[in-house]
Amino acid sequence: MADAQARGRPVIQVRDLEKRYRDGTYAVRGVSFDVHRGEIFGLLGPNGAGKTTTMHVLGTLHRATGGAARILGHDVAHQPHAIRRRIGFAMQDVGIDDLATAEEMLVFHARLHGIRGREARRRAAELLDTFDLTKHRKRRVTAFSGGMQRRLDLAVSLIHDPDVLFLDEPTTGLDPHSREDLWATLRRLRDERGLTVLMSTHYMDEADELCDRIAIIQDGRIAAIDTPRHLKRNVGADTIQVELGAHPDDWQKTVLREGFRGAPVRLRDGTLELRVQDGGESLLPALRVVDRAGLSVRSTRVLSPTLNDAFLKYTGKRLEEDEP
Amino acid sequence: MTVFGQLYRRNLRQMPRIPAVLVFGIVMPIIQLLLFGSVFSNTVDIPGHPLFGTDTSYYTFIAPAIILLTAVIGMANSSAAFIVDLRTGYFDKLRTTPASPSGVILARLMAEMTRVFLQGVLIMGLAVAIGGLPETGLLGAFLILLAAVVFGTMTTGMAVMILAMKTRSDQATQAMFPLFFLLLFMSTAFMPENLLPDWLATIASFNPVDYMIQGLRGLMIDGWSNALVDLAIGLGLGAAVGFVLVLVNVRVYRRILG
Ligand SMILES: Nc1ncnc2c1ncn2[C@@H]1O[C@H](COP(=O)(O)OP(=O)(O)OP(=O)(O)O)[C@@H](O)[C@H]1O
Ligand SMILES: [Mg+2]
Repeated sequence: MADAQARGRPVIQVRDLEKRYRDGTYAVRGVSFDVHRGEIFGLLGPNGAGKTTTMHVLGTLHRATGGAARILGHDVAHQPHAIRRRIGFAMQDVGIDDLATAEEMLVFHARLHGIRGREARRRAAELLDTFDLTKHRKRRVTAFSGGMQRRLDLAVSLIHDPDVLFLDEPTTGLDPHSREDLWATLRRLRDERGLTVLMSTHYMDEADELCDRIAIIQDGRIAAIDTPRHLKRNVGADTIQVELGAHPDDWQKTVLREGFRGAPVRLRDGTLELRVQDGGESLLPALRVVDRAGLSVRSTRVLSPTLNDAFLKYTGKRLEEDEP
Repeated sequence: MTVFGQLYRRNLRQMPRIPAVLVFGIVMPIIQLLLFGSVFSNTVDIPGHPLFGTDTSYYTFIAPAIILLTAVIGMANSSAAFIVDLRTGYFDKLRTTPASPSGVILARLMAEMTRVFLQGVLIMGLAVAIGGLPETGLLGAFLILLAAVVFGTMTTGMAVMILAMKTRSDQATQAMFPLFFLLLFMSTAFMPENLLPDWLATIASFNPVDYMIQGLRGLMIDGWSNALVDLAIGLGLGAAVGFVLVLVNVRVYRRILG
């Protein structure tokens, strides 16, 4: 809490937000969270969880049916214009002008934000470069591949140097290289200019590596909010696996048992499995015990809970299949 | 330049990139003028035709009707680019920028009005080349074009915006085309009133399109006095239709905003 106060008023404040569509679909059922300046905040949830709806309400595209939200101190219901001047929004389905070239689109959006002439063209050139589109700048966007359109859409969302960026599944359709590039760009903008990002994703690794904090959202409600690290930590302990060079005899087993002093440990098919709080820290002491018993080590593995495990714990569902 | 100006400029810039706009926008009106002009040109030899025994060209007689037809059909086509924006999600993208949605729609209409006005200029130019300047001169010519464009905007322009937002489909707007043709043929567009069958003349007297044609043609052939009355009635009826359509537009738009 003290930490939150030190950072000042949250850039995004959401309180008991509700959205019921006209057809009766209750998409968001009371969602509350804060996002601070310079934070990359992720919404993680299965299809239909309400991620897009939440972001659209915050981006002033839809009206909430309950609760309240502020972006940069402006009320989303009553001050949408003030908000639109300072946000960028890349929607789940890219929104690009079929009849324009990449460069025209960027310059046009710069001008919509009151950026003129040379400055508009300078920014367009910069973003074309950032998103690796410079050599396509004179091409009509209809001729772009899906990933190129996605990149252009992201570039357009950044043309006015927004304070807050909404990204709805920004890396869907991007190749691994472009994905890494986007992550790097977002981190750079966050570090250099204090850009705040609210994003949704289906990718565990993206949520894990890129997001500072994550809200796990399901059926229009938030099941948990925390840093990826804490979310994983809450699932349970790490496991250390030590594949032994030979099967231990009775004396060696005694040494192991005493060495681990009642810690949850078991031996299965010549592999020692040890449950510990922090796998990284406990690995070396564990190996020392094995060494003391005079056993050789063929291989070691440290298994930590994944975000997928955390997701399973909070929602009862898996978002991604575990890798084999 | 204001946000509105930017939107307007963008819309104009994209027009030459829509092949249908080029072909239908430039070729069709010219063909219509020349075709209808020659098909019906002998009607001036019928005793009782207002042009009987005068040296006024039939092209001069028919040009205002073709201009009105082009404006009405042209504004009905104005949803095409709007539908593209709705379908590609670009309209939503614009809603996340300082461009207000009503501004986006108005800039769209303004650009389409500009296009239709230029098409009208083309027809008028051709008619003047064949049959000489309107009786009311250049000012009259300008007024004919302006009134036709405004009428088209208030009627079909407003109507197709509703259909576009509701259906996001070109087919829905195209389904309206036969209606326009019907309204046009049930008027004095091609034949003077006294040469129409009685029943058609009766229908024409209730047809707002007919008042427009009488007014526009009056400016073209007769002069200022009577034409302005017909024009005022025609535009008034168009405005009434337009007012209702604007209300429906606002309603439909609010629904989309959900
Ligand atoms: N315009 C709409 N009208 C009615 N219901 C809607 C509308 N948009 C979304 N919904 C419903 O609201 C719920 C939440 O949808 P939303 O798009 O917010 O989910 P999401 O978390 O973004 O899912 P995804 O991962 O598939 O993008 C779903 O049940 C969906 O069917
Ligand atoms: Mg979504």
